[in-house]
Amino acid sequence: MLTNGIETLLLLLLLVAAWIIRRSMAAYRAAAEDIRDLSARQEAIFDAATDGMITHDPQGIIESLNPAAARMYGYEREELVGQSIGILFKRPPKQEDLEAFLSDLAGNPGNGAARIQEFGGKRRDGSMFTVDVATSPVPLHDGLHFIAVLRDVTERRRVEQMKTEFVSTVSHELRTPLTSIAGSLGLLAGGAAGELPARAAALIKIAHSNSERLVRLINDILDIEKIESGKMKFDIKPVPLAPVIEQVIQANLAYAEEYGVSFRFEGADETAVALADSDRLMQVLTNLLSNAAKFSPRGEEVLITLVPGSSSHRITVADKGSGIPEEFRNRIFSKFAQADASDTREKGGTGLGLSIVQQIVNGLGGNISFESEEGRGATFHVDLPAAAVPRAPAKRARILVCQEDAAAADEIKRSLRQAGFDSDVAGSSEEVRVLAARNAYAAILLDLSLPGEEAISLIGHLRSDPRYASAPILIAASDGSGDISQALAVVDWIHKPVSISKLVEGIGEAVAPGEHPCILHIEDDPDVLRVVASAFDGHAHVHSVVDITSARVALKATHYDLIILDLALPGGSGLELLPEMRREDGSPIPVVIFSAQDDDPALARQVEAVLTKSKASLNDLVATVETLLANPRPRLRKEGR
Amino acid sequence: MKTRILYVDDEADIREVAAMSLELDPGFEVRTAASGAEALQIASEWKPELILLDVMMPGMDGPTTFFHLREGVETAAITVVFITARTQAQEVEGFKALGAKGVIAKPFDPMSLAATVRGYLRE
Repeated sequence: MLTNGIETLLLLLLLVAAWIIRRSMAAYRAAAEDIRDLSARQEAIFDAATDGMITHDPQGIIESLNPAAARMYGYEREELVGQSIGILFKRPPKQEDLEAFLSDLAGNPGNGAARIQEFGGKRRDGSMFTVDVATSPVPLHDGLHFIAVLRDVTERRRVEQMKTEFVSTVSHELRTPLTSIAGSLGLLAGGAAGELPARAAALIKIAHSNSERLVRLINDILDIEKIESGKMKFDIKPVPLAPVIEQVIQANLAYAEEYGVSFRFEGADETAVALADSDRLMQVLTNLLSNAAKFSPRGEEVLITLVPGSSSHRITVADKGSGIPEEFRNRIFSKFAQADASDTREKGGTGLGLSIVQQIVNGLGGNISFESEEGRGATFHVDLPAAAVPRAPAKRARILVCQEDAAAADEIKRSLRQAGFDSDVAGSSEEVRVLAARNAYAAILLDLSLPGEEAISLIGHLRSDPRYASAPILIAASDGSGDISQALAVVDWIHKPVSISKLVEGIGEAVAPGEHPCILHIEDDPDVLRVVASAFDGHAHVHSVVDITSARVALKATHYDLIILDLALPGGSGLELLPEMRREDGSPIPVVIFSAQDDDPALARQVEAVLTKSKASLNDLVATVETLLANPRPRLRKEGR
Repeated sequence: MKTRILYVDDEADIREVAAMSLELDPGFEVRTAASGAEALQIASEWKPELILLDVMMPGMDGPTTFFHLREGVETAAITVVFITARTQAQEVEGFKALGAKGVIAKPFDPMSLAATVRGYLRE
């Protein structure tokens, strides 16, 4: 019983195994057939291709080749297998050069496109021909191989050469008789052969102008041919546009006069410099201007405008002629297209002008466009890429540093020099006055450890010097331990009581028209606030606050260009706010400080005391100088006062 | 003392037009040559102040003639201006780099040819 069961089981297993084997064998056969088909297909391509194909190894030894390659070089296939590809070259490369080229190719396969090069090929019989070779690396499981696809381009090169010669021959052959024709007629028309009878003169004039037209036509045709075959080379350099435009206008004045048309140029801007070929640009502008003159009614003017831009500059030529008809709009830049056939004879053009203009402008990396309404004239725009204008290098700024402590002074000098500033050191307020008078400084750094009232009157003195009326004046404090405080930019330090109206008048006059600085006025006397606010009305936006708290809120909420601060405020001293008078980037907001006269000696001490609490580094100080020099600020005192 | 100008071109008609055109200036004495070889001969004997030299000529072309002029002791210092069909900036630079004073385009304006030559003589 048991054995029967086992036998059945075994039989079953056998049947399943057989079935599995049959299936996998069928799959294997199918796969093998697919591979054979693929292989046969590729072999068919290889054999039937008209381009030569050669496979070789990294040393250049030929592994296989197709019949086309064999035919191209005049060999039997078997003769080349195992040979070096070098024997196929007119000038066989050195082995190391060949291997280097191939390994470089293998390393940089390029984005799918093979590298194509032109070589001189040598046939079995020694004859030479020109061949284009495209080589690609083929990594297979048995190593790296290369396939070279070859095309005999002898015929193509010969035709191109013939064409180039033809064009330059035609150019010479056409121009030679034309030189004689135009030359003779020119001499006759110019009176070189004496005065001509009226009828003869008229006929000569016709012949002469048409011979000139022929010359233009030949030039245009040759230009088009050069551009289209890619042989026109542009000599691209930065070209200032305004002088070029003026030159072209000059050159075409006589032509325009014949049509009773005048030219007007607007927008001469010497900063408009474009990257272009000046000769070709003049050719473009001449064409546009002469077209505009030709199609303008008598007595009208042609307007040329130059509008500089940031990345490109635009030249516009506008005429008030009959405009460009709707149907013609999309043909305008095509060859030999003129609005209607009759125009050709009437207007004396070649029909190629705009086509050349468009090709040249595009070749210069620019763009040409136009607007026109029938009966209302036409406007052409030429956009050219702007050249980056090199900025003139800034002169080294000179800073006056007032610092009693020699060591500190040296450190400041060194930091300033690293930032590109030259500096002079004054050890006392007297020296500051002397040096400031003798030299011109871009900014002044005052250390508040100067004896009391001197700092304040020094600032007043400096501000009344027209050279320093708006120079950045920074006050900083060093606490003797070598540390330095953050600098405060003081616009002015004014003693009270001063004739408010006089002061306000001075401030009001001095704020530059057009600039609308935002001013924070911190003052507890409402009359003063009112007077100052109305004095600035229209010149600046004044925000008035009466105490420290609201001042703090205001400072946090808004960006101010200037602060007017009365030091004597209720509930504290305006001094407390000094460290907070900074912009987001840390640079100080310029301050006009009001203080009562009799507090003076102690005041500077007080200011100093406040400042030293806000520590800063020399780098900060230098950075502050840099920022203030880079950003011009509103002036407060009129010069000479 | 008239200024001596030599015009070199293989085309007879052009030589005639050019001569007539140059002679509009009463201060010029004009001779012509039909080939580079003839030009070298006339130049070494007659010693013109300026030579107008066509570029494309059969046999000895303009640049070759120029090269030989530079070699000759009597002719090395003569000012030479090339005449050629249409001039692009690079081509002009090329001729000037050879040592030519300038380039005149063909066809030239016969009424202003003499003035143009005066300009080159003045430089």
